[in-house]
Amino acid sequence: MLIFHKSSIFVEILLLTIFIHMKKLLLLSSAMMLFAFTAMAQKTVTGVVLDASGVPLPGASVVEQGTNNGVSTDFDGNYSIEVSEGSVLEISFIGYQTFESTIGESDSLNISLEEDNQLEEVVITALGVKRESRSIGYSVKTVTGDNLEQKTEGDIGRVLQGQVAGVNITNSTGISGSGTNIVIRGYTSITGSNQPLFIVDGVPFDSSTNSQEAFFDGNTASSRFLDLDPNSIESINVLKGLSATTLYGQQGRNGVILVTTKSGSRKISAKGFETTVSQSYFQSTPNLPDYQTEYGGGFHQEFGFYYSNGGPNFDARISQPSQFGAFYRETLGNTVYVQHPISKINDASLVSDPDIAALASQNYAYKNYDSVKNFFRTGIVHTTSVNMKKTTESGFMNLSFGRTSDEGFTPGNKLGRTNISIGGSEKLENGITFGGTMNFAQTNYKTPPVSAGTGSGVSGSGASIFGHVMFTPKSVDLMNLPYQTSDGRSIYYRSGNDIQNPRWTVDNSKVSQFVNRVYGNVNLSYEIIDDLNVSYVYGFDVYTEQNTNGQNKGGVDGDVTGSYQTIDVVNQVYDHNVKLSYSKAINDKIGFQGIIGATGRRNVYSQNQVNSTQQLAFGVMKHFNFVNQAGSSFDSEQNIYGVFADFTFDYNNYLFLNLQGRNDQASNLEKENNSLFYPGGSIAFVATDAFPQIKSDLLSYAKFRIGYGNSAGFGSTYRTRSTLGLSSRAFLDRGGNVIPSNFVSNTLGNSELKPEKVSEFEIGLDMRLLNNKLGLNISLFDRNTQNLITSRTLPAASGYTNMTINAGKVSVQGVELDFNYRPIKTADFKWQIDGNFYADESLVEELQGSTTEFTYTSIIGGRPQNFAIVGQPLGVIKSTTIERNASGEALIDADGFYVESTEQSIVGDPNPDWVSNLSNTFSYKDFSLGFTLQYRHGGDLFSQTAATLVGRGVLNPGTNREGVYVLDGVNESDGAVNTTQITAINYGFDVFSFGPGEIQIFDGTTIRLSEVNLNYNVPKSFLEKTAIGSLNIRLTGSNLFYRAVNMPEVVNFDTNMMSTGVGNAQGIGFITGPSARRVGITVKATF
Amino acid sequence: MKKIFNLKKTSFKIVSSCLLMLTLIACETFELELVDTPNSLTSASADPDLFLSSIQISTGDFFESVTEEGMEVTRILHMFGPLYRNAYNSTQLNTPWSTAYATIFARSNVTSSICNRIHDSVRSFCSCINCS
Repeated sequence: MLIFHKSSIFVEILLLTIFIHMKKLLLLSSAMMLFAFTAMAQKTVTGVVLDASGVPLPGASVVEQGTNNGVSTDFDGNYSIEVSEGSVLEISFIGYQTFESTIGESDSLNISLEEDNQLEEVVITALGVKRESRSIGYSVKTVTGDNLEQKTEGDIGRVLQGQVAGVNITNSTGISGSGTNIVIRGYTSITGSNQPLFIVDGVPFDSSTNSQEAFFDGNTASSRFLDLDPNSIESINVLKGLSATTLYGQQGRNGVILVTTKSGSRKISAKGFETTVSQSYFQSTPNLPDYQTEYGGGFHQEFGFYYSNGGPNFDARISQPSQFGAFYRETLGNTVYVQHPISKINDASLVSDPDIAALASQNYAYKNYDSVKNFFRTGIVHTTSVNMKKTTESGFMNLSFGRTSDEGFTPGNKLGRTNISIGGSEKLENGITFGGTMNFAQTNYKTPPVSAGTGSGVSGSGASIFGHVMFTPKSVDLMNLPYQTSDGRSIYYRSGNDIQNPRWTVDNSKVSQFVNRVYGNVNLSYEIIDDLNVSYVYGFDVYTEQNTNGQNKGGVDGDVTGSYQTIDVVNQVYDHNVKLSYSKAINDKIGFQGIIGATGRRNVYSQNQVNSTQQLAFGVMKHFNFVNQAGSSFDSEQNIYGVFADFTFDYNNYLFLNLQGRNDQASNLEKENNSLFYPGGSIAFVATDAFPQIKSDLLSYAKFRIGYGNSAGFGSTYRTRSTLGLSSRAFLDRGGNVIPSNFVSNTLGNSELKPEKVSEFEIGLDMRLLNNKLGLNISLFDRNTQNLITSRTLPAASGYTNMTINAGKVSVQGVELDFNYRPIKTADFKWQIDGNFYADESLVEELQGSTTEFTYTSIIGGRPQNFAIVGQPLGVIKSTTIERNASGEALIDADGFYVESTEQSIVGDPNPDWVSNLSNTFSYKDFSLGFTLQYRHGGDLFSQTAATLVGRGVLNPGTNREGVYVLDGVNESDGAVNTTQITAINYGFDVFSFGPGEIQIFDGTTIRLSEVNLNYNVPKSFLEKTAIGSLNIRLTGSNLFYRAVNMPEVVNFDTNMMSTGVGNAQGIGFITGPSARRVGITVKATF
Repeated sequence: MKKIFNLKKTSFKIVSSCLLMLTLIACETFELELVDTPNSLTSASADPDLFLSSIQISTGDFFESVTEEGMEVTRILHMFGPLYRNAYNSTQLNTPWSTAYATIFARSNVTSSICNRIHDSVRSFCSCINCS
């Protein structure tokens, strides 16, 4: 920490020096300005800037040539500027030819700009360097604020879903605030992180998901990019390939998400001072399965208070009293009444409360209670955001405030977030620019726990809110049965009380994360001479994350004596970045731009944990109220120091050569292996400028690009040295004495551990066709990783069970396509199509030594797992299968069921074959209507939800539940064709739900209507007499419809959910609960 | 104009020297060897008594983990299967095996350093298990 103390002193000295000089400077500059004012006759010129078809161009820049005097056009293309007579006005707008006009006597000047064929779009690339998009030799995708603001989701990850080709984003659950998994260009690391780097306003932003539990113990942790407010973001650039991210070193190996916030953006607003206020209101509802309504709980049409829903028909005209056996009481109308479930509870102490005991003698109506639907609620989301920005010619100042309150559709789930941000920058006349941003975020997230539901209870040590709810038998009156006894215990419909009542879970079991976070940067830059610039940026990102996970005593799942866990996390990231940039036209044809620099990043993570069990007073969640406590802590510290250089040469502004390199040193590996150099480079060739004759009405612009880049992964900390195990409470002897112990840690340190290496080759083509109406960006890439850092099992005879090694090669090849098409564009009507396509194929080429496969996900109750297998795509799913004979016929056992294999085999590839998104926007005058479709082709998944819900009979997939079935196959014993009948209920339960794993693997092909929005801009004429500059009303619906076409339709399963949370597991779904559908309204006004 | 130039020159000097120093400090003080974990003890802190406790406790665990199967196959305890053919899979004895070799007999530089420091009374026990 000392070093930071020192460096901050230097920053202070620097600031002080600037401050002292500023006074002199201010005097000087004001004197100069006074002189300028008196010398020339000023006048105000007003006008409107339109495009060729008469559509106003907001944000076009109007500058007096040769001066700093300039303004931007407002929302309707209007501008007003004070200039001296005889001067030249320069009007420019991205994508249009610059227009120049000498100011004569007239006070008004309306301009119509011609579209420029050479699209001079400027994009932000690595380390915040702005480049013309034509000069870039790799693919960069920009998502602007319009596509990020006013969305139904407050999680920036989920907002980006489907907007960028090659960026695969999945939700962990439908719970508001739960983690979001982002993977760019496929999984390339087997056990290392595949999540991209977040850079906010030029400095690193921690985006980890600090999962304090294995996912099967309660998968709920938020991903820390949740602390960003999408409404305060100006734009996002996604750097996908390694030739784009080389300068970020090892951290950029999984792609970089470059976020520019409104407080960190120099972008000039339409007016000098502008306030934007927006208010949203959304409702979220769960996408539930289509439950059947005819049958209730039981098995084989016989009534019972079972987990399964294979009981008699609800209609007493169809069912017989005999089907209810001893439970039968009476029939009134068409409804059968049975003994009350409370009367069947074995543990007498549970039903001793008078009000509960009174129920025992009552009759219980056997009917459809639709409990699942009634259990969930309508979630409500409120979002308020205010942004104030003042821009001048030399700088800007921005203040933003955001508040999101998101009550999920799951009872007990709530997410609240407050964001405050301030930022500004000023360029002095002596060439010094100074600025900074300061952001504060407070995120408060609460939810009931979600452990892995196995269709018959939960696996893991916690409870699950969804585990039993989703297949609640239709005849169970969840919302009216008692759920808690007076002494706090859970009570439900089962005689053995072996299901934790979901309503008890809501009231008594809670996971929470409370985060206070401060992040931002200070930056200084100095223009030494005209083309030489030096800059320094200091970034900081510090947060505390207070995690709690507790359940009152009296539950069924987890620790029944009550448990409480608190984990306090402090994460700190400090980043220094110094760079020197130089640009020079060497001669008429050749230009040069160079950057050299150094960067140092320090990451300190620390957590303290206390686990308590055995609650004393019911309901009090404090450690003092528990008998047993155990504490633990974890600390990790990593420094990475890098030097980098980046040189770009251009020839005639159509051929660009970029060379770059970075050397990284990381503190977590032994000295011999901790340094790595990675080179990269790219070439961009604008063919339409090199050979103007190929330009035509058909082809307006074509650029070829080739890029190559390298990166590395240094892995997590402390894996190179062996440690000594210590168990402070190893044994409790008869006298109650605690005996501690030392042992050899089972993990063998590997002092030879090297960084894992990634390299990528990318080619691409950017085109504008049909008079710029159609834009296409195609990229092909080939990414290879080697020396993967992997945990390997050791034979126990060695004295250890595992060690971390460098092993294995994985490659991913893929194609990405982004396109936009403007088929119709008139003054009143516009039709705009944007879309993308992505396909990739991964391959595990090699693993350690003679190892040909291993699994890297935990085994949960014998369910399928992801494997790395040589010659297969990374992550293939293996599970038990139906045993087959040599000719491929299924073997059937004596009872008529499939014989389950004892060995696991490959049953699916979870990587989708290809994904595509298509969005259409129609605008007519002040209205616009947009909708986005998403399609995922293939990608297998194991779905415990589908298997359980169909198998337990709460859904009707179209089978005859009173019929009998004969499985296709031959008898295991004699090879004769199977003729043994099984019931539909057995088929559901023993085959579909809990039979061989391959039956529960589904193809994940899904079509989705991911968003529909309707926009209305209130016409200017209505607002003229008000203070409001513009007013926009938008109705949005997200995730309105989807259909996984190859899964049973009634399950209504959302394939965009990954119950394994944020990590490398794919396509393994436990009972994760429903996804959210959101609809609502947003009003946005500028003043 | 001359004054501006001077000012520019001075501030250039100040800024660039500050930046240079900053960079140098960053170079010098960025600790690049953070490889010993603060989350565990190192072999230097190994205590022979505590080590023997762990060997004793693990031996108990080992005994328990093999006797249960032993009782099952001899039908003293219920054997889930219930046939011999399907009662156990190939990984059944992995845990006791691992307990025996990776915990009780675990041989490493840690244990040898302990053997060198261990007191006489248990030296023979230790040598038969851990030290060659």
